[in-house]
Amino acid sequence: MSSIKFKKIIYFLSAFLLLNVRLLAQGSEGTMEDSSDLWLFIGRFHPLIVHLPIGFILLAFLMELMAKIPRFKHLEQSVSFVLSLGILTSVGAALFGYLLSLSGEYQGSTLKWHLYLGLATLGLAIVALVLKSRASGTAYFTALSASVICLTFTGHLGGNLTHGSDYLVRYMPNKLRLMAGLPPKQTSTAPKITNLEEAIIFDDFIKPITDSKCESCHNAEKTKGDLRLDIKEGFLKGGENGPSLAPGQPAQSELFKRVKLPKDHEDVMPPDGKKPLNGDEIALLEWWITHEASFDKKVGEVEITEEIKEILDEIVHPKESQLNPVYTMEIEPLKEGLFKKLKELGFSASPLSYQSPFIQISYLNSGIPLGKDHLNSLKNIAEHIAWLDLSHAKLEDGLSFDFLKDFKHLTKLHLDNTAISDQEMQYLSSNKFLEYLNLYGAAGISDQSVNILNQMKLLKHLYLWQTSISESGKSELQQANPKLEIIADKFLLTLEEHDDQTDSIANN
Amino acid sequence: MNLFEELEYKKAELNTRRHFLKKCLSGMGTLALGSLMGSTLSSCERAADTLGQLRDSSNPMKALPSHFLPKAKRVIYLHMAGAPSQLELFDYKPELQKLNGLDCPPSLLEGKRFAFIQGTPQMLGPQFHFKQHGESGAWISDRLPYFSQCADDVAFLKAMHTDEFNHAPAQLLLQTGSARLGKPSMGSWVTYGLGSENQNLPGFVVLVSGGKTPSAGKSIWGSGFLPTVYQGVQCRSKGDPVLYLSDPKGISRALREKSIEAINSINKKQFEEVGDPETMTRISQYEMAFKMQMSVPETMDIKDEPEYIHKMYGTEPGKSSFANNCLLARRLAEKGVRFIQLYHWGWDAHGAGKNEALNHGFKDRCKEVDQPIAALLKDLKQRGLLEDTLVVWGGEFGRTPMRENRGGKEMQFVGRDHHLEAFTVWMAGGGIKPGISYGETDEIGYYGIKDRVHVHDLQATILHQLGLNHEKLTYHFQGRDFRLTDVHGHVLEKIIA
Repeated sequence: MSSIKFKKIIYFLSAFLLLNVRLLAQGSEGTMEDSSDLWLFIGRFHPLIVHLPIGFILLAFLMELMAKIPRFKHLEQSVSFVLSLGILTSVGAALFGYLLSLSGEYQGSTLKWHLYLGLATLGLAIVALVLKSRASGTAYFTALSASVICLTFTGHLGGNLTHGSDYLVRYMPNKLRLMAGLPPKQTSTAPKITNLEEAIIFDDFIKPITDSKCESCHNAEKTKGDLRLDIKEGFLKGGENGPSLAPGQPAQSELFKRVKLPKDHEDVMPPDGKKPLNGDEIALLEWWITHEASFDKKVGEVEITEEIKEILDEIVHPKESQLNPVYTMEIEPLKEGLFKKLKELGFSASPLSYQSPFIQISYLNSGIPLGKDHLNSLKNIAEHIAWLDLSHAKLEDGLSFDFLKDFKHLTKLHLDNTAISDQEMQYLSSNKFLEYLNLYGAAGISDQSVNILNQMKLLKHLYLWQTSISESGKSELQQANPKLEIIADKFLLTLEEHDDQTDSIANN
Repeated sequence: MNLFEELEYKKAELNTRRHFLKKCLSGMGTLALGSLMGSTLSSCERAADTLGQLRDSSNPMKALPSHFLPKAKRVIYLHMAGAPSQLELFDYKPELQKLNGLDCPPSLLEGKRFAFIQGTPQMLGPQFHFKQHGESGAWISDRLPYFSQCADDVAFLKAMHTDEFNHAPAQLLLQTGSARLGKPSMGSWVTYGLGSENQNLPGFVVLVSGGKTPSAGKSIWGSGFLPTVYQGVQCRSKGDPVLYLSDPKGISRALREKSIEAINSINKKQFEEVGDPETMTRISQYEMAFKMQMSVPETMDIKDEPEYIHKMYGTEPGKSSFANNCLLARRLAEKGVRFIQLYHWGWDAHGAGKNEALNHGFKDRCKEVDQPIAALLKDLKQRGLLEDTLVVWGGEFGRTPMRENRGGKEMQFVGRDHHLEAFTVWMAGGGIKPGISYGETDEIGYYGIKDRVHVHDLQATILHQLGLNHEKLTYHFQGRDFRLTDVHGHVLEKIIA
């Protein structure tokens, strides 16, 4: 390509760029609009235009690399052109970026470094272009590589400014985090609340909401609308639209008004495309502002409605934390051979879910009594069985329920309508995780089993209908574990007050 | 075999060694990346894979793991076909009583379509007395004296709504997720997703009472585009439980076994040649039918139940009744059947005739279902089955707070028209919070004003309790993935225990 033509293109592009700015500037003359609005308007094209220098400079680098392969030698001739485009658009990006930074929405050292490194990228690219025309091979390539490195860091910092500093690595797999020298992902960040009455409303319930839904755009580095919601002072100070809170009056509070706006409203917060607050979070926010939006009041000091109580309870005792420890345990999954055998013997076996290494076993299909083979194949995988359903199962003569002692991870166990005896119940003593035990119809179970049942601390549901456990045995169980639900009686349906004569109301 | 599957097989035949190698290579790349990222397949999914726990077309009914830890292992769905009036059973509206006999204001009628109401109907107050029951204080009418004793075991969804105001499309929408024909029913989706614990019984059993099949016909337990092995098997409580299941006269069971073996070996050859999964379905259906010859009559025979159980349910062996079906539902649940669907017909109380009047036929229907339903809940509970059995009760839509005036005239009997904006459904067991009421309707029960629940939300919640993500349980058909809830449905987190 002749250099005259090349220069022409560059001139044309620069003229085009400048003309655009001129035109826009003219457009605002004569109106009452603030000229800083115009700069900001242009500045907001920064995120769009930055992608051009990134593409061009990386492409120039790539072409340079490829040109080392004889087959792609011809690419070398076009490198200057691409690099020039990169420089040109870099100038635009830097200019627009500077205008954007004037808004004050982005602050801090991240911004500073983003600016410096961006300029370094540009400078190094120019140096590379100059060296290229002087045909100084190594120096040229070094400058180009340095420019690409600066470009990478600039881009990363820019991304951090837009999306928040942990945006990129938040969901990084732990394996990679380890390689990158980052601490493993935190599973739960919130400290445990032990006493709801003593919990501080703002710190324990409101801050987590604003941290997850507001903070990424309203912090020290990125301060949209001149509002900071990462510190208490920011809440108090408010933003460019005035104070964010009107204590006692949620309907007058800008913060609350914005989150309550309909989804398609222009001013709704978080803005379109970001995850909105859910119903519970909005209710908590309203409750907090109604009670003076205080930063140090405790839950016990304010009035609580039934609805708020429910929401708070769910946060303090999340459903997951009530989960049996077995369900979060990690063990080596089973091998296939053992599994196949079970099915051949008439068991139904499947994992609890795709997420669990534990399995559920039931023996429903066959009237055949359980023999040695059956029990052995169960014992082989005993530690993997969490749910075992032996309802109505019979044992071959001479066999006993002693195999139960190997099942350490059972959480649900059906032994209803089996011939299990009090003595055999003792084999369950090593089981710590049982939460459901069905013994209905196991007539061999009497008060002698109360002791062993009392030791099952996690037990929540116990079925004792048609067993020989007496009333006093049941009340002893209930006393030892008040939360335990014991279903022991035959339910009868009775008709007391139904009188067919007073059927319909006399209006027809 | 349908056209699209045929194309798929043609394509598979045309796949060359080159294609295979290419796919393998890109597969290796993903595999390496997958192990580095530690994601794509979780270690347990891979384990499930090595355990042979993934779908296998030669054994379509084998138990499969759910997406996440399930609360319920099976469902008993009590569908009151014809749509019972919520205003006479659960949704107590004293305000409506005061308006009884007054003309309906035009604001309630503008822009609405009804099945039969014409001109200006009159408001109709609740026809029966209501009382609060249990510790939860649920309002239940005096038509359900037995069920009232279970008030603390159930969660009422008071602001259900649907899109259809005619029986057949509304039943289809509720049971298949679409008002049009051709989609798989909820039971089919569930057995497709989870298989069955019991290989000797169908995974999806349908029991019908009330003298008539539901308006939408048998397609509401059809399998749609899913392999036909997942369609509901209708069992009868009178005569042969499953039609044409018993051996024909003069054919012994041994001969039957031999002939089935012969047919299946021919079918297997056919499968090897053509590769149509429907052939596998047919083979497993023959095998299951043979096993069912023994297990079904045994399960369906309620004669051996003790006397107090018969008394509790109000059952009479050998008869066809809703009560018998409730008892059967419990027996099937005990045997690990995945989805048990009951339909009881006759709730369409328009008031056009005696049998469909609120003060006659409706009262009889209440009597027919009240005691058996209460007995079913209590019986499941005392056996420890209510924990992991989800029981759902409801019709396909609700009834209007206005009295029906078919043809614009006052009718001889009292009744209400179809209404899609508000009806009541209740759920019990299977990890649902007991003793709660969710959602509210306005003062006259015309429209849900708080926590409205669409039928797709109900479906999503039922699947959720079974450990299935309604957005992930999909089937690829005619170029796109289908699911029970189509593109809708939200799980009702608030009613989950």
